Formats: sequence, C-alpha cells, structure tokens
Amino acid sequence: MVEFSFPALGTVWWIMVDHLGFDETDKRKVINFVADFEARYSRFLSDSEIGKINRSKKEKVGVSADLKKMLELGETLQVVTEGRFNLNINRLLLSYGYDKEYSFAKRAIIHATEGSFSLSGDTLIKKGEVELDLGGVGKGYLIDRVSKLLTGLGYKFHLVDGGGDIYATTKADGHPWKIALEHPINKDEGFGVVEIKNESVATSSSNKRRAGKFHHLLNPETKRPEESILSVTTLAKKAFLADAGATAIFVSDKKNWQRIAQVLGLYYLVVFPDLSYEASASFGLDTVTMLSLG
Amino acid sequence: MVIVKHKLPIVFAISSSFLFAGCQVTKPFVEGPWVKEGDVYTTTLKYDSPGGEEANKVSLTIKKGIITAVDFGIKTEIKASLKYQGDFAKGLTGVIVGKKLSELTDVDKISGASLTTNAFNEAVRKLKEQV
Repeated sequence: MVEFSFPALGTVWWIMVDHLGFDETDKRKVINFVADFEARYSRFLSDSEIGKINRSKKEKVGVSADLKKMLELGETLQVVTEGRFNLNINRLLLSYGYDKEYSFAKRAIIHATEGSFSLSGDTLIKKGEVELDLGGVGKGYLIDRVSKLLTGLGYKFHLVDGGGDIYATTKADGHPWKIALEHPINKDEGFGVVEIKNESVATSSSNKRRAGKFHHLLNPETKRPEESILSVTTLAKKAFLADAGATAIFVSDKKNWQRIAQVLGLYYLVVFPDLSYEASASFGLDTVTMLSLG
Repeated sequence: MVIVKHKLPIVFAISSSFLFAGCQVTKPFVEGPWVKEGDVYTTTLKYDSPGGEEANKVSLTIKKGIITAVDFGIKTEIKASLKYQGDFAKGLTGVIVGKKLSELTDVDKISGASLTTNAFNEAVRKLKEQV
C-alpha cells in the first residue's frame, strides 16, 4: 500500500494505491491533473471557465464537455430539490465571506441571485444574474476522473480521497476498503464503518468550512446556512453522484430525500442535531457497522 | 466495548415506499427527534396510508450499549395496516454514538474528515515540512 497527499480545491487529497510502488512521475501527473481541473473550474479564479462565465455579460456561452456534465447534474438536482440545490449561488456564498481566503468576513448580505440558467446542447443560457459555483458537483466529478486516470496509469487498485469524499476500487485481493464515518461533532470519533468497493462514500457536514454560525451549505430560500441537519453521508456508484447527492439532501426538504436517492441511485444516512439518525432502507445494510450505543 | 450491529432491532422507519393494497403508501417519516428519558429513547413515526395519517410511538431502552427493550406502540385501528407496520422493524433510524477513531482498527480512511480552515492549514504546514 502506497499513499501520498497534496492540497487542492481547498482541502487535502489522499491517493492510496494497493500496488508495490507509486512512480514519482505518476504522482506528479495526478497532482497536475487535479491542479489543471481546479484552474479550469474554480469560481475563485477569474481566468477559469467558470470565472469567465460569471463575468460574461452574454446570454449564451459555450461550455466544455466536462462542465456540461456537471451543469446537467446541477440542473437535474435543482428540479428534484425544488430549487434548493442551485449552482447559481456564488454571490450568496461570497456575501457570507466564503471566499478564496475563507475569510468569513462580514459583508453586506447580497440577496440571492434571481437569475436562472439552462443548457441547450453545449450552450449555457443565462437569464438574469447568473454566477455559478460548482460546489456539490465539481469535486465528486474530479474524484471519478482521478480514479480513471489512476487506472490508465496502471494503478488498478486504488482509493481517491478528496477531503473526506472517497471513491475506491477493490483492494488488490478483491476485498473492500474500510471507511470510518466521522462523528459530526466529535471529530476524533467515528460512529460507523462502511466497506466500499467500486463505489463512493461522501459526507456533507455543517462542521466543515464553518465560521461561527456560518457554514457553507446555504439554503437559497432562507439565504441562511441550513441548521436542521448535522451531516449527510451517501453511498453511490460514482463520487459524482455521492457528492452531489449528499449536498442535495443536506439542503432539501425531507420529503424529497427519497426522490433524490432514486434519481441518483444512492443510499443516505442523515444525522440530526440531537444525534438521532435516519437512513434510507438499504443504506449499506451489508456493509455498514454502526458503532456501539450507550 | 459492545459493538451493536446495524441489523439489530434498534431501528425502525422505512424509507422506501412500499405497496399497500395496490396503492402506493407515502413514505413514513420520523415526526420528531429522539427524546431521551433515562435509558429510554422515544420518537414518533408518522405516515400517510390509504386509511389516513397514522402515527406510531417507538421506544428503545438502551443500557450500557445494549438494547434491552423495544416498544413499538402500535396505535392504529386499521387492521390491514398492522401487517405492514411490522415491516418497520427493518428500518433505519437510531442514535449515533461515537468511538475514538484511534480505537478503530483496520480503517483505511475517514469520510467526512472535516477539514476546517485550521485543520487544512495545519495539514498544509505538515506537507511543507515533508517537502
């Protein structure tokens, strides 16, 4: 087992391969691949594709194939969550100081953008104010791409951890990887262990990226951070779906959780502020061990 | 430390909708949080059935990490519902309890590793030391 880590997308990434060695050149390829993706899609970089779209005054903008896939999922989830999941949230995030430096500085609260976007083929159509942020769809998509890259480089058995959102193949011996589910309050504790192979586990937590009472998961209706949930953990076949699903469930009404799960083909486990939990009926019944009670 | 497997009857609820007399029954949901009184945890499950809205109060007694009693207070008067309410025992709600990550052996990674800005900076600092 060989592993290495690097910072990207505002968090720490870990790559583990169940092989005898990890070539330095290959490590560099992985790090560059992630850095390149970040340069293309970060809302913090004005030269990125997202930066250009956000600055553009044009109503119609062409999008790359990767961005198209991410926006399509964003559009779908916007419908399924009745508008709660919305990629057009950059201005709202910035107004809370959720900026490049994570300053969480107090600023004038900007009202959520009233604009909307839609896709027509490879063209993004902006109506009104549209400033996109790929939070919720970007990282998971990238995790899957990195997995594909590792396979291409000859590392067939691997785990990609993008700041706690994970995709893993099997181990070399065919066994699954064991992932602890972090306790949403006591960070040095786990509350469960899940075994994954050829699938992804992702967690959206209000503890992450938090400053005082502001955290990064905002409800576009109330324009406030969502407070009724501590964390959402999802299991899905792809990190793209697990990551997006965790965010979507976090911000949406309970009545839509099952629908989100069906649309994305995922299982979820939601932890509430009183530490009670609720999970979809099939949440890893065969793979999850909840730790001791009492 | 007693490990309680998920499959033990600590859990109720139901999330997938299921068929009832040919009609789709709306997904039941936990009405309130779990309320703890001594060793007893209680909550209410509600759901819409073809017979109208129904509610069930559910209590667990947990002593030293072991579930010693389960009270699934079936209130409904609609007989046909009883059979299906039995299915609730397969469900998935409960109360999470943590265990020190350092005590968890054989774990490869942690999901939800909440990298706050501080933790992130610290991680970057360590990385810099390594390079």
